[in-house]
Amino acid sequence: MTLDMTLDMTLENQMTDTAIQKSVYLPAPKTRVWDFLTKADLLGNWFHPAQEDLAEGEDYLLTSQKDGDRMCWGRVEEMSPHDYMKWSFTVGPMEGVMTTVEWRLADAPGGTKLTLEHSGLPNNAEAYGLVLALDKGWHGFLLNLHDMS
Amino acid sequence: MTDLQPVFRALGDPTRRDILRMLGDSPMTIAQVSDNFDMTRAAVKKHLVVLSDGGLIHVEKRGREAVNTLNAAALRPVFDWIGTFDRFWDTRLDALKSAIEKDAANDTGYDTGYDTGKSND
Repeated sequence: MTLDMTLDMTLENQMTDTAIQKSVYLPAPKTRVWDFLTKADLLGNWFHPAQEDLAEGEDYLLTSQKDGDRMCWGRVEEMSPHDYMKWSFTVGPMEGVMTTVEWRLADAPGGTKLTLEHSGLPNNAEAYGLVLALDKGWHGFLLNLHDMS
Repeated sequence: MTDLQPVFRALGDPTRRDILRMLGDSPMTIAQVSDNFDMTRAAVKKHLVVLSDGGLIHVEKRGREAVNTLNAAALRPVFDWIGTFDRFWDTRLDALKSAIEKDAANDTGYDTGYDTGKSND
């Protein structure tokens, strides 16, 4: 049947750029997909609930449904409803290092093509204080990292 | 490993990261961890449970005591950010697709303009 959407995920591992790009076809119009990306409650249906609906220029915080712990956060740097949104983005273990997440929505037959690009991912584990602080309990590959520095 | 959330959650808290660093030096009982952190055993226990849920420590019974050991291998994905977020977004986008399919199926009054004819599946 025509609504048999294919999940077309593509990954680009660019060692120089360290960005991930993925696309998914969704059986809903851009306006509805946009709601799932920006409304506090709908974000909870597939990601984590947000504290508030997302707004341009505002910080956002996605918390664990289980216990309210901070899971992902950053700032909505740009919003062009219902086509484009840019976040700064981090998770707890990154210890404050910010990356960039961009969402692009495009009309596609039977729905919307949503493209995610996650860039600014460091490919050097040395960027993280956690690695250095853990080195006593670290076996093998961490020692190799230190040898290179 | 498909779901990295338990690892992220376990590592998201500075106290838990400190506990991991200590366990990296040597395995410890709850009492030993508590002594080092000026925290109640109950508070330490809570953190250890989250770390264990994330697979970051092994808990081993030795007589009447439980000894906590760092499981360094579980930390590996966290240092491979590309691989980690590759799987992270696969999981999230799958969930988004399911949520939107469910939404489209429930919301029959919503004019999507698409053929929503019955499937014979």
